[in-house]
Amino acid sequence: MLKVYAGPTLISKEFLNFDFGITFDQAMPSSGLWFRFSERGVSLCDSLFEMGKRKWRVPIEISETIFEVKGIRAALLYNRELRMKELLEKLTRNRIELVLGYLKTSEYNPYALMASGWGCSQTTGIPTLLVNFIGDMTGYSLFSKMTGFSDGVRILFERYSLMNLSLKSGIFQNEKAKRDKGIEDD
Amino acid sequence: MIDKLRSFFSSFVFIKRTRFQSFSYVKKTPYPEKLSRVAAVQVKFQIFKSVKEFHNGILNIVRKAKDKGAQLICFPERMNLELQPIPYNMMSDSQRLKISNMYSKVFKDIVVNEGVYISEAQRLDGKSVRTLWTPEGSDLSEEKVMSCVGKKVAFFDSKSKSKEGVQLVINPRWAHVWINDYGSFKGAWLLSQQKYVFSVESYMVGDFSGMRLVGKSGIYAPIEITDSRNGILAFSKSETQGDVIIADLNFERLEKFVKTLENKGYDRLLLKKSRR
Repeated sequence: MLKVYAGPTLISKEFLNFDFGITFDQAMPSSGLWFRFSERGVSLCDSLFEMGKRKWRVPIEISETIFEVKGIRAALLYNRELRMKELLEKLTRNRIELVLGYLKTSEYNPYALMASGWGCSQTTGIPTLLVNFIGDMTGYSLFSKMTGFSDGVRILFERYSLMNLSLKSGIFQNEKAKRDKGIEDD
Repeated sequence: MIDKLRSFFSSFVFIKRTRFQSFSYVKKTPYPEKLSRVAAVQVKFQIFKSVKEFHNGILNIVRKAKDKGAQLICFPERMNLELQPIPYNMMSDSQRLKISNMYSKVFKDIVVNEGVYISEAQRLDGKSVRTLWTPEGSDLSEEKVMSCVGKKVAFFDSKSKSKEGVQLVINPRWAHVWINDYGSFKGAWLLSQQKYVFSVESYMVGDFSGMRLVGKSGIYAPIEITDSRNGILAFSKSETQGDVIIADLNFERLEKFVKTLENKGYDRLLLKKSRR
């Protein structure tokens, strides 16, 4: 079970023992592993040390979008990329287990979150954690693939949340096993 | 059983006569000059024992949609299961084929008489056979991308690669596991958001051999070109009842929006082989 905190860094102090955090804050806590999102891009920092970053521009290589953290391969996508079916399909062939997305909108629209985040999970079969920036507010959402019991909307536009991602169990494990066994990269 | 089949096949004479008469008159209905309004038919499953009953049932729906101005009317998956003079699993292969031909002739007759485009789908030998009928009575579905009054139309296929220039996708559906409305958004609605096309999805609902069929039909567009910003142009009210929903498709607005999305950088990225 992967524990991910999403929200302002100040509130993160209320929670203990999460594997990594995601924030839109510019102020960084002095310890821990954090994905810091901004309008320009995202950076991965460990105790203030920058381990990698992706600027929001068209990537030259698919590897530019992929980060490894805590043994998980995560793809970092923004805006239109989250709705590019071919790109999402290409990422699933690259053994991605989590999508971290950034979406800038002019207003809160749950259908835009569905089109980008929920749709991404239905296409890839893996969880999507979406940071939605709407000017004066940032909301965090978590989507997964629909199953017989779940519609795939786990968290919708929360100011902050501690999310439990069962990437190594159930459907994710099966999907992972399938990908590991059979499907080759492009 | 033989009597049942005999009376079933004899009822087909009605269709033949109707068709013959329809060709002997000058066409009452002009062909659509443009595609601007479509209908998604949500069919509540029922069994018709004769071709005549089936013909009347389909004709009533088509006229209802046509009266509301629809030029293209989309029916759901496995429509042929409604035409059963004897239970489907008791039919021989040749009987199934014969009934399938009659089923197709019903739609052909209706498009010719009513001057509309109709899409429908049959289940034959475990495979889905989808057809787009023109008002002239021809079947366009040999082509992967079909031309419907100048607009590029295709049937939904989640596995296939993108079809260049398609503006409208038709998705005839049978049923899905019902949790809530999200289930109905997984197909055509999502395709509209990811491929920037209009889409029409029609569900078969009701009871079939003890199975409860559910789903909500809809007509969709990219969220950016819908006034309510939800990507829904029309949506069925119920997941269990029959319905005919209609929506206008503004192709000019769609084309204008799609032009703003051009981004050759991504095309280059997607063509590249990735490194491990």
